[in-house]
Amino acid sequence: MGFFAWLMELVDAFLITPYRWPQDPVLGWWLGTFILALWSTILGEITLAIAFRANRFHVTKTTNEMAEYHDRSMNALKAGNKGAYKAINKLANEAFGKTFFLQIAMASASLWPVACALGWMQARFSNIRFPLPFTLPVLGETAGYAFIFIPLYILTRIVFGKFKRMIISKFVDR
Amino acid sequence: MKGNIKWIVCLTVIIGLVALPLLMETPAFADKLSDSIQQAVGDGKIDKKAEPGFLGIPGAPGVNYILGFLWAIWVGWIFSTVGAFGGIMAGVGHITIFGLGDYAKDFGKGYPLNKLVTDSIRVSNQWLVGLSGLISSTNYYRMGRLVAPLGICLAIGGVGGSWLIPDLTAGKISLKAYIGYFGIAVLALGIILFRETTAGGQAKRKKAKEAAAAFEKQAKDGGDTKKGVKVLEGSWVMMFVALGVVVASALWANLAGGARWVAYILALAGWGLTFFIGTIRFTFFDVEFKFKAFIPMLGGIFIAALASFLGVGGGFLYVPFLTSVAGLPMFLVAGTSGLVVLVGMIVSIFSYMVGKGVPVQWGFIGAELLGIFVGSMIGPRTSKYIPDIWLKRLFVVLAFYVGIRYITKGFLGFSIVPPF
Repeated sequence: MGFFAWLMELVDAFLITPYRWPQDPVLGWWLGTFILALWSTILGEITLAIAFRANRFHVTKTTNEMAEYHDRSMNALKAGNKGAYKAINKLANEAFGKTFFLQIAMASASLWPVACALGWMQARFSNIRFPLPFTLPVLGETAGYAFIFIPLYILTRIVFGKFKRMIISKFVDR
Repeated sequence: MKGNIKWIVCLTVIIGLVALPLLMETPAFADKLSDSIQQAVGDGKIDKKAEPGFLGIPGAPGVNYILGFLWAIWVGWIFSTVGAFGGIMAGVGHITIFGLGDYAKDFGKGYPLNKLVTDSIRVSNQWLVGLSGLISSTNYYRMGRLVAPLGICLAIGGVGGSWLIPDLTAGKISLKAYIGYFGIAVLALGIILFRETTAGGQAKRKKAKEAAAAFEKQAKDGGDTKKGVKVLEGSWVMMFVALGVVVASALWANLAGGARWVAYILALAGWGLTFFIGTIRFTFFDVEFKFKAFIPMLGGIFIAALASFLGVGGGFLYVPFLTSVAGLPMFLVAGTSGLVVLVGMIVSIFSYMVGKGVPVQWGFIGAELLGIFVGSMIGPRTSKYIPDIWLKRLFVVLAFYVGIRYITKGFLGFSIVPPF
């Protein structure tokens, strides 16, 4: 067995375990999916923290450059120099492009676990439809794995964020 | 103003919360894929017993996660050094590097499995872009850089454009033609980049830097990036009505079974209403700006249509459009364009995945996101050793190569540059 297949098997065994903890399969589904959402959130938060820590200097530099050109372009406009405004605005635009795409690339740090979790669920549950307590247009009376996972992930992320802020304000800010 | 921004963010979140889960899984998902596979098996195009590959299709190229990860590092590196070209490179990976382009093409024009793979490639690109838009627009909202009227007017055009074009082209355009159009977009970007590297482009840049230096002192004296936007004139009611009508057109097109003419009329009505919004006036940094509401709306239609068709975000087109064509300061369009990209992508992905039942391979997107993250770590550390002008020249060469290759492959059937 190759290293990749071995790793996948290990991850699969790790992720499926909470689904089997309760006897009731429906309860197991909710518990397992919630824990998966929690892992996705934690892993995303850790990688995002690493990304910002590692790129702090570069992000600050490009953001400052962008802000500086912006301020100068506004001053040119206030002074009534439209030509200078347009030229400096173009430089500001260029600096913005760099910051924008750098931050976009860094943002993927927090979301890669979500796509991986969905990939794992696709392999595990793509043939299973989960009954809904109500009927929805397009979906009908059942939904797929992602319909449950995505809202649960968003909820977990919000709660996790609040919890994190609470911890920081209680212990770090003191 | 603050209240309006909150409304827009709430609306976007609601659209996201409702649309994202809905678009993930559709009854059409399994049916369309398995129907297409069944048809291909019946026609003897694929061997049912062959090893399943991309999307579980028997005999399809196996998706190599390590290759996807490595390619995404390159994409992330580009994102973090030169910017916009990263989206194009993500597309190149999906079409060429992973072997999906040639595989889909083998089925022939108009064949269902060809259409499905083509659309899946587009949606994979859109997922990468949409997720990025989600994060960046959240960040800019926190920074207070979202300009509500501008965002709404762009979205009025963008939402309509991003469902209308997939609706008119999905399944009707083969991968071969898609590659050709993608090539035209890459070549156009290459020409823009090339102009910036010429002596004339460099002289312009030097002049702009000199102008910037002249206003440095005043910036230090009077610069205050905390001064926000104050809207003086603009019909909010009409803006929301027009936005509501185009969103309704997208929902009708995606969810209602028949009477598609209703969706077309709603989209046209929404766009028409924008002409009644009139002029929007606002101050930013105590300087007054004004724009006709239909200008960003028209720009939104064109950009979202192009972006949705190519499976890219359009952020690289929104920003220059608003700074160069509409003449607005960069800070006004920065955050707003992120939001419009997000809304446009939500509607477009919704159109493909719910409306057309197009599936994506999630694990692969995960591997790519991880690669982009790694690339974005490497980029800032290497860019200081490579001058900006040389980075641009590198991408000019790449853009010309990729553009010519795709155009000739797409429209002539063979590439005039190696590998042929």
